[in-house]
Amino acid sequence: MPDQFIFAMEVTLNGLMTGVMYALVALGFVLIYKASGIFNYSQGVLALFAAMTLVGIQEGRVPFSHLINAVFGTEVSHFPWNSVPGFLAILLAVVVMIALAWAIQRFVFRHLVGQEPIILFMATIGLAYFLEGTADLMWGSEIRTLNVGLPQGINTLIDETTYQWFGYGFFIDNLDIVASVVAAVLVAVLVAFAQYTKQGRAMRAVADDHQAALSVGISLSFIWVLVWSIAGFVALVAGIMWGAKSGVQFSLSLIALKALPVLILGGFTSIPGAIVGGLIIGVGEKLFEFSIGPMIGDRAFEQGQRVAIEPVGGLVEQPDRRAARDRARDRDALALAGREQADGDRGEMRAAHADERAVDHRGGAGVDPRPETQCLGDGAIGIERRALIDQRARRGARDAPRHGFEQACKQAQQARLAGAIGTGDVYRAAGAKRERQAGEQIAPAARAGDRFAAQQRYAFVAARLTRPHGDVQ
Amino acid sequence: MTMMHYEPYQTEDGRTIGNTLMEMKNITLRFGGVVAIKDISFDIREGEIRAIIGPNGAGKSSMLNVISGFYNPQDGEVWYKGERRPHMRPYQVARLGIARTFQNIALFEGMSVLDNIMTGRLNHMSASILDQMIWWGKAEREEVKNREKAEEIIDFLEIQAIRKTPVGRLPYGLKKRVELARALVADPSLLLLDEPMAGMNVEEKEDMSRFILDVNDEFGTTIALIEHDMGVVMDLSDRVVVMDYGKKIGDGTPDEVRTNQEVIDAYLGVAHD
Repeated sequence: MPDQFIFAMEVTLNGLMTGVMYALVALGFVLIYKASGIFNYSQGVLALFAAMTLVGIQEGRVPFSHLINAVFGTEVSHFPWNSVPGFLAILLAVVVMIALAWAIQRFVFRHLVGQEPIILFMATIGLAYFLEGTADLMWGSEIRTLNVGLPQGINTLIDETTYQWFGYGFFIDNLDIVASVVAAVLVAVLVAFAQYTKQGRAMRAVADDHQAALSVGISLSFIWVLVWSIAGFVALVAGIMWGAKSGVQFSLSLIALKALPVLILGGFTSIPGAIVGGLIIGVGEKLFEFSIGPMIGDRAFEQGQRVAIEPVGGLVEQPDRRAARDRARDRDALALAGREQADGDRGEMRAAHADERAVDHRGGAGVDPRPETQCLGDGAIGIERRALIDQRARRGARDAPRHGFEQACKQAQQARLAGAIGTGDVYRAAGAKRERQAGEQIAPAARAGDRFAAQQRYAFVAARLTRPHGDVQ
Repeated sequence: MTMMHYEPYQTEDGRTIGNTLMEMKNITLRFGGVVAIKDISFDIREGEIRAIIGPNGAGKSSMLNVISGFYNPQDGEVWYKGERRPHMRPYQVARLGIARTFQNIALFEGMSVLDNIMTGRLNHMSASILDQMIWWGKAEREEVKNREKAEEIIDFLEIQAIRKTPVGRLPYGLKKRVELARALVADPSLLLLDEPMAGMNVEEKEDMSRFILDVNDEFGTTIALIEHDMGVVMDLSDRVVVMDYGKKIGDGTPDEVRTNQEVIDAYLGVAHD
C-alpha cells in the first residue's frame, strides 16, 4: 500500500475519534431541541461549567472563594480534605448539574412558557454568559488539568498491530477510544430512554404541544427539569472528555461552535444525525488539516509543517518510520515555538527576518536553479535535518521522551487555544492573562523549539553572509 | 360541607345514573376586572351526559377549564368524588381521571395516531425506568396491556385505517376523533368535551353524536360537554346547564331548559337594560 494512503488512513481514524467528541457536544443540542424546541446556545458553556465544577470538586476547592475572600477578607481556597476521588467527584458534579437544571427551569424557562422559539433562544444566549461568569466566579479562571483516571497517550496495541500490518504504527490516543465507547453507550441509553420509557415519550409530547401534554397528565416543569438535567449530564460527559484532552479552560465553551456544522449537517432533531454529522466533520477537518493546511498555513505554521511533511514523504527511504512519524507529531509544538520566537525581542526579530529571507531564498531556489542558491537551500535543509537529529538525540530513547514531548505538545496546544480566546472581544483582557500563564507553562517546549530555531537561523544568516553579493534579490 | 346526595335511577334507555361525581360550588373566575364566571354552582352525576350551553362568551369554556385545572377560580369550591379538590395543576387533575379534549384540537402533530393515543396511557405506567428501557418484566406487561386498551379504543372509534398516519396529515373531523380516542384511552371517570362538534358538517356531527352516546353507554363514562348547537345538545344530554354572561340562567333536563324563559331570551336575544 502506498505510504500516503496509510497515512491518510491514520488521519481518518483520528478524525473519526475527534468526530465522536464533536458528536458528544452536538448530542446535547439535539436532546434539548427535540424535547423542548429550544436551540440551546449555552450547551458549550454548560460543558465548561460541568468540567470546571468537576475539577473544583475533585481538587477540594471552595466555590466562590475569591468572592468570599474579597468580601470577608478571609483566605479560604481549599476545603480541609485535599482531594475527592474521581468517581465521587463525578457523582457530585451530576448532582450539581441537576440542581442547575432545576434552577434554569425555575428562574428562566418557567417564565417563558409559550413564547416564540427565538425568545427562548435569546434566553439561552443570556444563560450562556451568565453561566460563564458564574463558572469564573465559582472556580477561578486558571487553566486546570482534569484527571479522573481516564487512560491517555498512545494505544500500544493498535500501534504494534498496525506496525505489523503496514510497517507503520498508527497513533490512536487511548482517551479518544474511551470517548468513543462512552459516546456509544451514552447514545444507546439515551435512545432507549427517549423511545421506550414513559418519561421519554412525555418528553416528545411536551416538545410537540404543551396543552395536549398537560391534558394527558404530563407535568411540564418536571419534563423541563428532566430535559435540562440530561443536557447537563451530556455536557458533563463532553466536558470530561474535552477537559481531559485539552485542559479545563474557558475555550472549552467554544467547542459548541464546532458542534454547529455538525448540527446543520445532521439535523437538529436527529440523534443518529448528530453522530454521523460529527464523524463527517471530524474526518473532514483532519483530512483537510493535513492535506490543504500546509498550502495555506502561515509562516510559523509552515516552519513546523516543513518538518511534518518531510518525514511523510520520506517514509519510503527511512528505515525507522516511527521516528519519522514522531517528528510529524512534533510539528505543532515546533510551529508554536516558531510563533513564540516571532514575538521575541528585537534581536530575535532580526533573526526572524533573516529566517524569512532565507526561506524566500530557498523558495527562489526552486524556480531559479542557480548553483549557489541551490546549494544554500540544500544546506538549509541539511541543517534542519541535523537539528532534528540533535533534538531526537537529546530526547534520548524513543518512548520516555516522547511521552514528555507529547505533554509539551498538549501544553502548546492549550496555549494556542488560550491565544485564540485572547483575540475574542469579550475575553481580551482575561485572554491575555491566560496566554501569559500558558506561555509560562509551555516554556520547556518553547525552549526546545527555540534552540532548534536558533540553529536554523544561524545557518541561514551564515549562508546569507557568505554568499556573493547581489546574487539573490 | 359535603356533596349533594342523589339516589341512583335507571334511564329510559337502561343506563344507570348514580350519585354526584363532581360538584362546583359558587365558582367565580375573574381575569383582571373581567368576570368570566359569576357565582355558578352545579353538579355532575355518575354516568350522565351533562351539557353546558350558552351563547358565545358566556363562560362555558372557562368553566371547563376550571374543571380541568387550566384555570383556578378566585372563589368557590370544586368537589370531586366526595372530597374537596385543592388547588391543582392541569396534569394533576388529569391524573385524577379527568380527561378532556379541546375546542381547537390539541394533538401531538408530529406523532402517529397510535402514538398520540398511547400518550393517553402514560399515567398507567408504573414500571421503573430501567425496566422500561430494556422492555422487561412489569414494563412489558404494562405496555402490552396499554396497547390492548389503545387498540380497543381504535376499534371503537373506527380509526383502524389511520393508525400509523401522522396526525398532522389528517382532516379536521378525524383529528377530533383521535383527540377523543386519546382522552378515552385513559379510562377517565369524567370526560370533558369542549365543543366536540364545532366546525363539522351534518354527517360528521351525527357520527360524533353516536360516538359520544356509545362511549357513555358502553364504558359508562360520565361526560360533560360544551356545545353551541342546541339541537344536538338537547338530543344527547341528560341534564343541561345554561350560561349567559358568566351567570347560570338555567339548569335541568332538556325539556325543562327548553321552556325556560331566560334561556329563550338569551338565545333569541333580548335587549339588556
